[in-house]
Amino acid sequence: MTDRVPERLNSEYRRYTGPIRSRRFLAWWPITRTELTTRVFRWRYILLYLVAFGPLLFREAILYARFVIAPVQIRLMNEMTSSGMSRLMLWDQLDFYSDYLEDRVLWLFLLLATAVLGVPMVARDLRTRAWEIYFSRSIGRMDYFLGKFAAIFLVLFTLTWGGALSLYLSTSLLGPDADFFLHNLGWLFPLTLYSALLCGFLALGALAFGTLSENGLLLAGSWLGLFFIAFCIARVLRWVRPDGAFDWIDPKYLLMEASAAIHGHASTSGFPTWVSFLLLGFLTVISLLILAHFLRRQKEGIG
Amino acid sequence: MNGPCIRFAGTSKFYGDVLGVMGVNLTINPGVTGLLGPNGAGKSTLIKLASGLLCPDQGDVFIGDRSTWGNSRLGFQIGYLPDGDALPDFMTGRRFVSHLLRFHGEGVRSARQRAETVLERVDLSQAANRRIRTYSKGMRQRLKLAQALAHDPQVLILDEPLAGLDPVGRRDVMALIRQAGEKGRTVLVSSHILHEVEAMTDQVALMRHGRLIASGRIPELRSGLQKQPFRIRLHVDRSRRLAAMLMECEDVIGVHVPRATYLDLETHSPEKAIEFLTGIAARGEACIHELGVEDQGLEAVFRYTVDR
Repeated sequence: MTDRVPERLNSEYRRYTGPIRSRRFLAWWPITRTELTTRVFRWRYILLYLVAFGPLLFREAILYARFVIAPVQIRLMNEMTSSGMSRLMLWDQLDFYSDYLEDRVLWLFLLLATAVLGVPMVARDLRTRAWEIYFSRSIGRMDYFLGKFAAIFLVLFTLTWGGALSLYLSTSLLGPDADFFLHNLGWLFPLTLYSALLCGFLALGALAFGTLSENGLLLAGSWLGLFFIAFCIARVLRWVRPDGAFDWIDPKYLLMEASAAIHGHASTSGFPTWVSFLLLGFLTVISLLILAHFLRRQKEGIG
Repeated sequence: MNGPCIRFAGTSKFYGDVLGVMGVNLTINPGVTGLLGPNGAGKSTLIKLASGLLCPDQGDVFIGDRSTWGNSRLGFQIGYLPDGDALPDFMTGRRFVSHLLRFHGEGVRSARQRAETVLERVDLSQAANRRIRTYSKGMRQRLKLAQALAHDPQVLILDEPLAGLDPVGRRDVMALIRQAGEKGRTVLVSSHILHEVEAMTDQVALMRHGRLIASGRIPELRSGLQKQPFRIRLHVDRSRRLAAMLMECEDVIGVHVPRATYLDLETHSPEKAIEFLTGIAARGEACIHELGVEDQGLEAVFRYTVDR
């Protein structure tokens, strides 16, 4: 039998003139809000956030001791100088704030946060097929990814840039120089730029990595494993080339080199700065290609 | 206000070498339309194409005059119920529905109120504050229906909405779907359960092997099957005598006597055959205890078109 045109076909229905929600500028925001309120702000992650606030609280305590509890200052300075942490007392230099962004504990938080919160975001939606319902709404695929990216980015950026800003404000408020805030306002630019680079790179990588499988746990483990393997290889190669020519294999060194270039302090690795930016760019392109591949598979219906 | 129609214009979709749907030309008008076919017929593919989840390889799919693929603004008009689980287990039912409502720009309070209302409609108020992972299969199904209905869309695309529901749940959901159709919404429902589709609508589209093989109202489709005569079963006193009389009627094309008191007749025109029988009974020439046209419903249409 051929296709039959139903009797009640009425051509007036063919043209739809009803309301259609206009495109909102922040169409991705509902996705971000959903992620933040239902997945990120949960009691089970309280320990993770406490770890994240550790470096900040430590530095805030130093500032408080330096400016408010004067008698403690001398002893603290002596102890820190003897333990090689004298940079922590250089509150009137940009290094004090950029050091915060390179803190090992903060770096550990960034890795754990991307593994626990970022990587499984898409994987869980793939497993439960919740994306079918999202995409059938007024949410485009780009909005979906932008929303997820923003959720991870906001968490990381709040802790990194927010922390550096809070240190800067604390120094301005507690310090002896009343004009400190205005005089050093220019410091905020490199701090913001590096924080955005650090968080954007990690958030995009985690998001792209999260599209590779439906198993969030496996992906989170693999994500941490990748960094650990890179770290180990870089350490082994340090023995072969003590000048650190292969340090770029370790993502932390890669980002620290970028930090050195942005903040204008001395490089601690043995490879040129352009290698750092080239590799960061390359990894960003790879992440974008993974996302594009995922979108194509979704469109084909084989994802 | 009547909803816009869904129009498939030469729509084809391939999964690599595998054919999903092929050259579908179909218009789904306001009201409820059942999409029927065996497993692998392409129903879910067609549903996903209609809801904009898949991009057609050939042709296009329109809601009103807007293509569904890449037109996320149409999501405001579509209520989609997927066949899979598709629910985030970590949320509560209320939060899930209100979050989805906020995708359409609803305010916090308004979204919460709407969520309350729709959860009550699907009888999930009691469990609204429980996490979805604690829901039974039937509750999950009703929650999926709730999110599809929540923003009061003009078009409802429901993939197996009755799957996993108990008889009471099925009755309630069928009533909700019928109501939506009566309100002028365009509702496309795919299902395997023929009598339930028949209870919701007489407008169907039948698919087989990725192709649309028939669409329209069930009686029209049945009468269009000229090669398949209607079968009327009669419970009578003396079937052989009645069989001899029926052979004289030009509208009757065949008579079978399975048992002494039963008689099956085949005709292309059941109305005329019944009229003839009524005449015989009125003249007292035969005593007819029971009469039934056996294959005029959706099941017969399905059997003769899809199952052949």
